[in-house]
Amino acid sequence: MNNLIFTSSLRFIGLVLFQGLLLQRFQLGGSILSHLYVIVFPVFIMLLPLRTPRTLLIFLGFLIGLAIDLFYDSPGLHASAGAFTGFFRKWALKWMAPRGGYNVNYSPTVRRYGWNWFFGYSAIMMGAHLFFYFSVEAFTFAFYVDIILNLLISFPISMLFVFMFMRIFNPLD
Amino acid sequence: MRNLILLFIRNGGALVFLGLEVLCFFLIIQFNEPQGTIYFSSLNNANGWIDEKTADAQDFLKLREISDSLAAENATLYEQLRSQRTEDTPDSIPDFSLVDSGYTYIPARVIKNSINRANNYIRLNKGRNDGVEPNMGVISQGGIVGIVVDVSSNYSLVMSFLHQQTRISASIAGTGFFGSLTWPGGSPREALLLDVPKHAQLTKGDLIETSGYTMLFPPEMTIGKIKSFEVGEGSSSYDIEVRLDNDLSNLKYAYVVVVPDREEQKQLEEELRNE
Repeated sequence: MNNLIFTSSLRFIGLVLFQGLLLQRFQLGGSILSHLYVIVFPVFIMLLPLRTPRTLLIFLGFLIGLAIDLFYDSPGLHASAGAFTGFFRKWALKWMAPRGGYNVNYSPTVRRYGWNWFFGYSAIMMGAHLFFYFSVEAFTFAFYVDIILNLLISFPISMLFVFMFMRIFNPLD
Repeated sequence: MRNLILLFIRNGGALVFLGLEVLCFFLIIQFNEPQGTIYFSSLNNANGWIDEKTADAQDFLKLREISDSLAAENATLYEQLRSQRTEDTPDSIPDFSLVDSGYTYIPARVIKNSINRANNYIRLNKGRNDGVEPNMGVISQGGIVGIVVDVSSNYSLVMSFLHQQTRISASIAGTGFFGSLTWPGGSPREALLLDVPKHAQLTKGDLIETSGYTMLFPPEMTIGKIKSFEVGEGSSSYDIEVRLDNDLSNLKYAYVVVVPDREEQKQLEEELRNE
């Protein structure tokens, strides 16, 4: 239990620093590349233990988003998307439920449920996160073309980073 | 209380989520410029009552009174100025509307305005009780604003000049050639004057003014300047681009034009139509 809190905290800090200090600089100009947002911090929300209470999940999503916002100088934008992803995780897990159901003592990781499963799960989570984030960023659906373009371009690259993260650390819980 | 707790246990996630999103919403509109701009301009498009209340809260009570009285004073001065001007120009041919320049103005506060849609509307805080009726013209210091389309007892809805259906009779100052002024959409400072015959002599910068042929606006009120003009292929009239003097994007006060003998003129037109 304590161990889980420790790894989660470490992951929180690591992802915030990686996203906030490195990826935040990775904002390119140009007509197409300006639509590229590499966002990897939702991995933190994805990997929280399955028995995490839903309210805590949402709150932690909000918190990591807020921490990211400090680096992006956009108070509330990433926080709202983070809270949404925490809120949404219940359904992503439901859709991806394995035949035998989940073991509540596990975390939804590659080592527990396999690459195939994790691919579907993280794609749903990342898609939901990015869609919400871009909608909030545009702040009106009048810019739906931009929202879709952002999503199409940012989603694959962000997923790539998520897989790199899993490849490198490959946590059990 | 017990129910509340039960509600929280059952829907805690959704409630926490909603609470945090509301918090984020305030953070976003407070500290993020593009989103804040969108939010506050959307707020402007909310209905008249809310707008007026928020405007009330924003203005200091005292300042409101002063500016209202100034607006009323403006209206009377404006009337005087206009009647003065028509008296002072003896060499212009007196036509009926000039001789009889009993135009009066009802000052009103703009409580809702939009400029960036295809069809824009303005709401004023004066209505039937103040003498406003549908099909009255609305002007401001800078020029024309629009036409009243609907009135309630205390508010009126004005079809902004920035509306696809706007057709206002306008003439080129000093020549008497006239056409109809339309708004093609896009920039709130540009309009299109159509149907001016191509034998008219035009130069860039010529003043465009109201013709006074309709029962909407007083004559010889400057609207804008000619920006460019051309004759379309096979056409017998000019397409004139007009730069408007009036900036409708920062409109605060407007004046509803009450045309003298409005009833009589209207009746006459009705009779003509019935024949």
